[in-house]
Amino acid sequence: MSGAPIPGALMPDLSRIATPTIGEPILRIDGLRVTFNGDRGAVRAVNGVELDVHRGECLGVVGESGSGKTVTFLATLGLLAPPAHVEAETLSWQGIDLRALSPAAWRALRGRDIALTMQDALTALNPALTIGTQITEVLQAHGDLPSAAARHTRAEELLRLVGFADPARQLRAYPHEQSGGMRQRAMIAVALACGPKLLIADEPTTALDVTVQAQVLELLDTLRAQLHLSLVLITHNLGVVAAHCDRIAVMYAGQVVETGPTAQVIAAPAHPYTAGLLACLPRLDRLDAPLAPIPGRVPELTHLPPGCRFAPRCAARTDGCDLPQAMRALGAGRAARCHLAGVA
Amino acid sequence: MSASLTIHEASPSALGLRRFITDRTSLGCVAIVLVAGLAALFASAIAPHDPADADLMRRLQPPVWQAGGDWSYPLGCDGLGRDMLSRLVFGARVSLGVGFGVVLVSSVIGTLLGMLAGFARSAINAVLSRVADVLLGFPYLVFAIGLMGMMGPGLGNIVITLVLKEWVVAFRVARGETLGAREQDYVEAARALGCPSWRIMCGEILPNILSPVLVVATIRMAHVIIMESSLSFLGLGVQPPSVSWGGMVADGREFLAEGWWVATLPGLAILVVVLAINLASQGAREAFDPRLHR
Repeated sequence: MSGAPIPGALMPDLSRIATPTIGEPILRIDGLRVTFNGDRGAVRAVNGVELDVHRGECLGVVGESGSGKTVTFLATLGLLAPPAHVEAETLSWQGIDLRALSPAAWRALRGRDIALTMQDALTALNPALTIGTQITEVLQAHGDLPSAAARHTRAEELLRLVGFADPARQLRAYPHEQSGGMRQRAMIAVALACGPKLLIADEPTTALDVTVQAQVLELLDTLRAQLHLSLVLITHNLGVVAAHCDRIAVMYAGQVVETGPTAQVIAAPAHPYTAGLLACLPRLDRLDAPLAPIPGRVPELTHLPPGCRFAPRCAARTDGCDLPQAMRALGAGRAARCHLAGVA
Repeated sequence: MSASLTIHEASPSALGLRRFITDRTSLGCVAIVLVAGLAALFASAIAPHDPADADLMRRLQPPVWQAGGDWSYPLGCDGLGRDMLSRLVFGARVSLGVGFGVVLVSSVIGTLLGMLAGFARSAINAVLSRVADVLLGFPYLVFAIGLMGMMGPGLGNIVITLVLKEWVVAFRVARGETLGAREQDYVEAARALGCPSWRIMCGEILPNILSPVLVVATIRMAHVIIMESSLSFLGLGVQPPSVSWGGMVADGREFLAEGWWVATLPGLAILVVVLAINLASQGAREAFDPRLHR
């Protein structure tokens, strides 16, 4: 992969990623559709998403705001309530069909098997409770540790695990007493309380400054290795994905448009949208070259184009683009939702 | 790599407490309420005489600072020669007891139902909210007089009547605050980590809605004391030999010309305590509401 035209210094060194042992798929999503029925008609936020998360891997889900990244995983966790309407052909966790799960089984699964950290740590932590209470509460909800002292010890352990030097003090801290990076760590500690196998981190680096972003991502890397976690990183930052993820899934207008191993996808994107995203990243090795924005704007989810969702903005558009596009397998674990992919 | 640099400022509640106790008006009002409360609690130890001990020889004996008064009955005696001070002290027991008890019970009921309605947002919400609307539609005194008339006078019935009307206040506050809190990310986050609904209600939402509920409860306590006094004044409240300030004012009405103190002193007691509670709760709201500072 070293010969491929990897974009410049803003993109981290890809060879640094150790390829961890990646196992069989643990989370399988296929044909996931989420529709919000509103006054102005149905908003199709997610349109047939297919995604697998393998044991031990880090999957980066990239897309613009409104591309359905977050909604996809909220639906996966069964957290969407009417007016959202969720349907899926496959939605399974370690072979268990999630579509048939009872509310009690859902509760047991959330936090214990799959945990989620939300975009904004400030609002996702309860302002009226100390960090310690918020951790022990999750442990209590799952009935993991019957004694309060054991829960307290576990909470302190978790705070140390996410890199606090003074866990005893942070246990008693309220979210407003912490900085943005500390809150993000605290939220990760809450999410990890019951030892989940899969952590879904929704925009873990938004609203953090760049150095703290790096620390948080490094922490996630460390935790993943230490705890044998599988990780889904939802982000709009391709740089984050490139540095930390084994595989990448690019989403556009409620669909996955391209998946594949990170290095290959970034080196040679198969879908014009992925190529467009990469082209508009600034590159330190070509500072005088203008950035190439993608013309046009994301289609409204109430009025989606009949064929390829990206066709109205695509430079490589041809007649075939007016037809609905299916994912085309391109070999080596890659696939793209473009009839031109792999042809040219 | 850890950046554990916390700016350790005092917690918001400690800051609020500091603001509260440096405010002289609030502190004075708290002292007044405290004195009245202690008098109510230790009435039998404080009162110099038996409040029901009547002696017509002492009929309408004036307070000590008027001609004919003496120190054994410092605030004078009423129309039956009963000691005014002892009756005021025992009256505090009923007034403050009913005020505190009614507010406590109705706040607990109202908060629980309000959280349930705000969180469930389903049929429970619709039913409870309509019941609350209907109850709010009744004028307070008409509702209380009607219900007391049906059940008969007495301390227990006063409490029941006032609770039936008063829970709506806590209900509406708790429901409104819960509707706001349930949309917060931390509720969704708790659900994403497998917390059941009751735990989210008690563990996540309750701590966030508690302070408005408490502030409203203190304000309502003054109101409930006035309502109890009104009902007792109308003869629907506690019955003799129990003493209540409202009942004392009613007793004193007959003697306004000969013995002003019989009606005025319990009236003054109601005024001072209610005013003190109102000012103290306003002070508390200002001290603890972060939006009024910085």
